Amino acid sequence: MKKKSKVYLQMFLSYLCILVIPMMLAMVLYFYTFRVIRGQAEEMNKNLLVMVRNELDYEIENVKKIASRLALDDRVQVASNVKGEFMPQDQMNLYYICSECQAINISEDFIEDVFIVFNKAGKVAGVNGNMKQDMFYDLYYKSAGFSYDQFQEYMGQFHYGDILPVKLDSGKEIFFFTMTTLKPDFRESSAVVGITIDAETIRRRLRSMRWSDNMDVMIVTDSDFRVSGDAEISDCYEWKYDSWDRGNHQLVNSRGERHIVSVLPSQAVGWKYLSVMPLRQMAREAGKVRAMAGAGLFLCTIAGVLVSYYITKRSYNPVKMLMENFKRHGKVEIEEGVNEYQWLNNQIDHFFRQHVDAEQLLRKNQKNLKNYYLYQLLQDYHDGEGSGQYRLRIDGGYNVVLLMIPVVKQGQDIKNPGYIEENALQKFAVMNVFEEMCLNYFNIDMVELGERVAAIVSLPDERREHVDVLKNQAENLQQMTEESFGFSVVILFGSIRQGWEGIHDSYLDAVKLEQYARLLDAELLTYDEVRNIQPYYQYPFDLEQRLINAVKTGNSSLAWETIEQVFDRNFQEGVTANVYRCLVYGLMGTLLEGASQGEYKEAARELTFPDGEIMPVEKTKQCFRRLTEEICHKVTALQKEKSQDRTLSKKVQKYIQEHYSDPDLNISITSDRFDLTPAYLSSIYKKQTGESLLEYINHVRLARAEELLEQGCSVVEVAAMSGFRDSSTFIRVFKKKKGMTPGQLKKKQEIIKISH
Amino acid sequence: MKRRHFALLMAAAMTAGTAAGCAGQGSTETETTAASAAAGQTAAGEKLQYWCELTTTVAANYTNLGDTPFGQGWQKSTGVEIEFLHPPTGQQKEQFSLILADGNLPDLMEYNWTVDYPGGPEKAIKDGVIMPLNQVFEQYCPNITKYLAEHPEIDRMIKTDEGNYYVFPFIRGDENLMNTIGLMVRQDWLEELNMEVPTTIDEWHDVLTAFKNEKGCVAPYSFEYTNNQYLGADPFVAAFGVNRSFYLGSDNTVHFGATEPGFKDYLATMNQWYEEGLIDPDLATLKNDQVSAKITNGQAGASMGQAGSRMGTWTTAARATTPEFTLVPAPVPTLEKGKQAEMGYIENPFSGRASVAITTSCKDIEQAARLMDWAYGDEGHMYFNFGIEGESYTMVDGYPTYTDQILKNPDGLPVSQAMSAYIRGNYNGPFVQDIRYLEQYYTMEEQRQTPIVWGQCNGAAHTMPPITPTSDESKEFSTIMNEINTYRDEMILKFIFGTESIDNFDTYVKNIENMGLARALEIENTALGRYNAR
Repeated sequence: MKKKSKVYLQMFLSYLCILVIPMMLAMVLYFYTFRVIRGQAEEMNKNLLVMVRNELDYEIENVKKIASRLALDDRVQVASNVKGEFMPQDQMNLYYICSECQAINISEDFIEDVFIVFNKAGKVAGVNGNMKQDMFYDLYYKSAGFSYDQFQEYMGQFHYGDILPVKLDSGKEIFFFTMTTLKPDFRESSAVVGITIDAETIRRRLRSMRWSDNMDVMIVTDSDFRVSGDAEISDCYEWKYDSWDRGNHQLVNSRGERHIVSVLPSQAVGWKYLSVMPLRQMAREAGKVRAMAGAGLFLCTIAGVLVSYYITKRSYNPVKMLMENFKRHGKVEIEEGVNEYQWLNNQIDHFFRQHVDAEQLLRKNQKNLKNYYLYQLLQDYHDGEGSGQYRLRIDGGYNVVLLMIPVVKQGQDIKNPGYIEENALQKFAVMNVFEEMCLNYFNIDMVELGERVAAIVSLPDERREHVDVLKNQAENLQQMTEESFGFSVVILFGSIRQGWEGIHDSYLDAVKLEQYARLLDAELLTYDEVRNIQPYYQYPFDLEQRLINAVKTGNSSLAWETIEQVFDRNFQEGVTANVYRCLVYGLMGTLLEGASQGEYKEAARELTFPDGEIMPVEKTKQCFRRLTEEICHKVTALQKEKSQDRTLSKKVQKYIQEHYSDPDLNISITSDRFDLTPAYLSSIYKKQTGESLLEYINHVRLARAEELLEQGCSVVEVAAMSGFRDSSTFIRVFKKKKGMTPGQLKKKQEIIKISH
Repeated sequence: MKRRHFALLMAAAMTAGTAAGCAGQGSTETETTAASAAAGQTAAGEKLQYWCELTTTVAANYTNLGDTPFGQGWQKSTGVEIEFLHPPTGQQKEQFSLILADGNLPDLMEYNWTVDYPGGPEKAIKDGVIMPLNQVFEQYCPNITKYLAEHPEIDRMIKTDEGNYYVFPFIRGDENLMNTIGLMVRQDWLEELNMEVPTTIDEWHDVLTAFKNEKGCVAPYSFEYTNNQYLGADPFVAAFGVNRSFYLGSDNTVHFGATEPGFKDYLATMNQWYEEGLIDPDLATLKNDQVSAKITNGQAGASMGQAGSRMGTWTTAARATTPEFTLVPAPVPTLEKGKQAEMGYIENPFSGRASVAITTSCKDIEQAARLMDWAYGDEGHMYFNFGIEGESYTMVDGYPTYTDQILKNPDGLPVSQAMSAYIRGNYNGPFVQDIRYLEQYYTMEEQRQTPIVWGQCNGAAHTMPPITPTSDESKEFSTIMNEINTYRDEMILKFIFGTESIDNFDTYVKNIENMGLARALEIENTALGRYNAR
């Protein structure tokens, strides 16, 4: 197999093309997935932030509520009014305040610590008990970044829901939520309710709310303090409160990593909630899809290529086999680069055309050969040699030949192509119908012979019954053609003969019968029926003489009577066709002899005689009767004419010969000379001479001209001397009659002279 | 032919494409399901949930007992995975109530089921909170069964009146382990002021006054008032021959100390001291943090607490800035000099504290029971008291000796914290405490004196045995006592602070009696009768 093969490549490529579909699908899938994932992620981030905000804002609001409650608490109010050290009587009050703070701390897990700073007394009461501010600071909120002085100052200020992030020395990050006690001496910060929120608590919340471990959710406060759920992810940026608007952002860090940042501001405090997600995280999500799609694609491609290769091979193999077959048998090589299908198509086309031609030819030849063989059997004595190879139905036993002649309709021209066609149809019908009919009884072969059809029927023996059967069939055929096809057919049965040679004899018999059939006006005739017809006719001499005399004298009734006698004598019984023909010729001869003796010499030319055709007797009779009457009538007329002057034409001729040189000579001048009308003279002259008067005039003139030309006169002279009014008329008439111009004749004569 | 193949390939391609698309989603779902299934399994089955208070010496360095070498070693040794759950420090009771209300109980709960479950242990069983353990002991717990057979007096303690075992108990395995709380005083200051360790109320008054005046103490006597154990153990109450709550009188009946005349004297003394500034003014809300700070920075000169976690810790911490800092134990004060105190804080070998019950939520009772029983066997006993051999202790002449990891911690941790990382012997838990721990735990001479000094009383005779009222009694009892205790606690503070005149003590007593004290005592005495009859 040539790898370069066009069809092979085409097939392979077209199979491979299908792989484009999964490839494209996989690509589209990946990009679509990436987009969907990103859209989803952003949507999820947004929802997440809303959730985070709802939860944390709720907590902050709750803290605010708790702070407000404490700020409004009566005991707190009372304690806040105490100036200087708390006295023992204040201790119970503080004890209750602590208990209250502890109760809050137990029930609120978002809160790390609850305390109230009493600035006037320099004390703190809270979850951890009552103590001095400095001890409280040292024990719980020691911070390098938020010194005791700062703490004191901050707690001494007025606060309402303020939130302050502080990083403690212990590493803990906390938010101080502060609220000054709300009492009549407004804006005087005698006591501040403090609630501590551990950043770790927030961090835990943020962490637990994330929907992916690879993202970060964080809080950035308005003092740019950050609490991250997973700081590692977002540590690569400086987070500034002011740089972030609500919505989605894209961010690229110093290492070139891209992040998607969603921002939602808190509604409770000056915080912004941010979600930070590396773009690569989404790519990873999509990457799973890509990996799957890629793996699927890879398998698909491998399988596709293998399957394509296999299918191509399988699909191409038949083509290859076909081609090799053609190459082997046809001894043709395929040119490189030619499409195999086209090539095969051409080869097959070529092959079948040859095949069909040969078959047709063979069939035609076989038919022709068979026909020819049958024809030979009919036409000549034949020993039946080679009969086996034509698949004849007949054998060399007893045979009878039937001749079938479609009857030509009256007035039909047998040379007309229409007729030939019709005849062919008729023959076809006859052959087929009859063959069909007879095959039930006998073996039969049929052959066309010109306008006829011959049937050779093989009979088991020579008994007459077989012929009767055939006759029946023949009658059926005739009836059928008459009724169904509208034509009649004459069927002639030859005699039953034995052996191959007998076929010819039988055929001859049938041919002979044709004449009898016409004679007897029969459509179906067997040889046996005409075998005994007499071979001679009776036409006695006395009857002949009597007929001649009768005609000579124009006595038609006598003549017809005589002819009738002859017919009666001969046709009362059957005669052979030849006899009939001889008799007809005899009678015709007699009639012509009579006419001739009666001065009617043109009878043979003018009258229409029956030709050798054999017609039914009655028709022949009528024909003869008509002839007899015509001849007799003519003879009578001629005898009358004999008495009239027949010199008129001679006189006219003499006159013309004397006056031909006169150019005025014409028919009217001539008729004036003889006191006749020009028309009448012309007709009489023609009648008498058989030639028109004008022709005669020209004839005389041209004869004279020719003489003159020979004598060497010029054409003009000749024209004038021979009575032509001008030379051009002369030349025209001359050329018409002689086939050349006078000039040409003259030259010719001169050449002849010179050559002599 | 060709079309058919096309269709086939097409179909194949589409299938592949779809499969790829589906696989992405499908696998994610599967993972999720698998993950959640695994999570569910862990939560439901394999890990045992163990709820207990994280004692302060552990909490100083660890947030979860499971993170400590002790917790990890325990799981490793027993092959049982444990998820430790801890209530916030100081909020054990509150969270316990929350858990009970929630109904979603951990498998094992370490708690004082004997005293702190409203209605008592029998009620806890009847409420369907915890399992009765008789059958469990029999089936899965050979070690504790053996121990109880050898110690019938303890066997009597850890049963309900109906004879039900209900916890894996914390048992003090030696008498010296039962008087671990007592008074302590700055020895260096006493020496400086040329004073003796006070033994009477008057001496104490002098010492504290001296501290206030000479040493500038703002809170000469400061102690962790919010610690109920300390309140119950208060030697100053004992000094007046009473108790803050119930105690076993010499007549072998139950008494309620807070209404007795001695208690009035106690209150009067305290009120006087408070007004004189001898007692921390912030007394009512004092917690360890503040007390520690005040003791170590010299704002206070006397306190109360354990020899280890308090005396030792404070001494170590204070010596960083005050090298001469020395605390010595002081005996239960008396009213008369030279007399031995009748009352005093001596715990029962079984106090009910830190004992573990198996809750009815536990799915694998056998596993839980075998885990707990292990501590009462030889191996478990050594582990709970001394930790990991070769790491936290070595055997020297058959004596389990703590290593330097414990006694001289390389990270500078106090012994109590270093121990707490490896053992439970230094505080409590479901095991039998070994005296050999204490012998080594007390690194200072002063500490070693404590059992002797603090043991100078007849307290053991007056300590209430772990009696268990019936659940009906218990309900009634707790109703009564809730009211009484709340009132009592508030009134005690008011008397001390002087908000309430001590003259109103009789009204106070009357009020308490009106609250049904007699009935409560009746219930207690009945229960005692049943206990004695065990």
